[in-house]
Amino acid sequence: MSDMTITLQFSDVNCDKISGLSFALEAGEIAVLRMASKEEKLAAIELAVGERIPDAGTATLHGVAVHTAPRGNIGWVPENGGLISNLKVWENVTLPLWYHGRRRSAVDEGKIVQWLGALGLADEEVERFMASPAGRLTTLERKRAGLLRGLLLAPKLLVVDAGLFSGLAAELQEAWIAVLDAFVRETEDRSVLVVANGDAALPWKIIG
Amino acid sequence: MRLAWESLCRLPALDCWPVRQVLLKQLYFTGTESVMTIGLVGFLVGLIVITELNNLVGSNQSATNHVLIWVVVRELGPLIAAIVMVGRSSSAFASELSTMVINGEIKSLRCMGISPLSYLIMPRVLAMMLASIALAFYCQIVAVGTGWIVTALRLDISLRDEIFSFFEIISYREIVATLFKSAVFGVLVAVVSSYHGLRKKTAMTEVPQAVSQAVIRSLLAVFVADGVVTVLAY
Repeated sequence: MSDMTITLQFSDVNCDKISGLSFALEAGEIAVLRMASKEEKLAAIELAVGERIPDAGTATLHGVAVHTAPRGNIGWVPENGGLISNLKVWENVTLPLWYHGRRRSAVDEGKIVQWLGALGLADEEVERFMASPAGRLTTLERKRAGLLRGLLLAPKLLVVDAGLFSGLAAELQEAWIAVLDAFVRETEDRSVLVVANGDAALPWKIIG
Repeated sequence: MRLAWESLCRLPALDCWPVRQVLLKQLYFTGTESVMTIGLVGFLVGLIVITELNNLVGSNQSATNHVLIWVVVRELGPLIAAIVMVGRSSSAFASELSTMVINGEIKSLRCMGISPLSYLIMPRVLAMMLASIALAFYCQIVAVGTGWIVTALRLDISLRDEIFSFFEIISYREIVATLFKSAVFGVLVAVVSSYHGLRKKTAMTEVPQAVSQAVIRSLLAVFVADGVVTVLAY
């Protein structure tokens, strides 16, 4: 396996919650990292997004230590959407995009409608949904907005909390799985790491 | 102090649109929405101070203007602006940030690579500093203007003479010192409130405690800073 095809690599990573975690995620791949507990899952997510530095071992994104990699290259979709409650949905979904230096014009409204359609939202609902304050959304709507935010950022690595899929109707779960598959297929250098605690009924390769 | 310094170091983040958006929102909330309250309080302070003063010194124009400068311009203008900001914004900052901490929104920002210091704190500190300067200046203008008008009406003194006499007495140093004092008050209120808002919390019941601490300590910080700046500047 050439280093150039590896997006994310953990080599014997240790922190207070995890010991000796090693895996490699290739470009164009979606994989499920299965951890033993919720605490371990959250620690693995923090390591994968660069929020935490390993006590020992290395975590690299395209060969660079994850915590020093450009942050716009890593997207994160938390279990409950992780929205900022005093912002509207459109402000939430564009926040990382604009914060990490991409201009307003980079937000393609057609793309938003397309992704939301694939995530099970009817076209006529899009405007109302995007204008809603995040604090008033239902759990499903928060999850949908969180996933949309990750997709719009179009990062090289999208880290998804597997809890995102819990509580979804089977039909919707299938649709969201298909969206992640489509997201990875859009370009050659994208990968998705789904981090789960315990068993997760997801169709992707299990690592870790 | 560390939070104030780190906020200052994050000023380049203003290049980023979402940070500017937070700054504009905070300027509106802290500054624009306080204009009516500050105007009313400034008017009442001018009315009360000048009525008492007129009763004490009669139609002594020089004494009236000296007291207006010493009491209203040097002290009450910046203090009133700071106290109104503590009442409105300090509690709002602390409760908003505390709720964000408990809901995991601060952690969420960090995981997206967004620095809470750059995105949340620096724009609040800057907005409150700018609003404090503007509101203190506005309060001084309203209070002094009210003082002139009340004196002119009650004691039959020419308004024009009062204004000329006032500008002969007041110095640029005094104006600069009061604006500096207001800036310090604004930074202190924002930093103290943000500090109490961002402290680690695990339950919603800790939010009122954080708010109350933020308000009390912001007021304390303002009065201590007032004492220090007054002793150093005058």
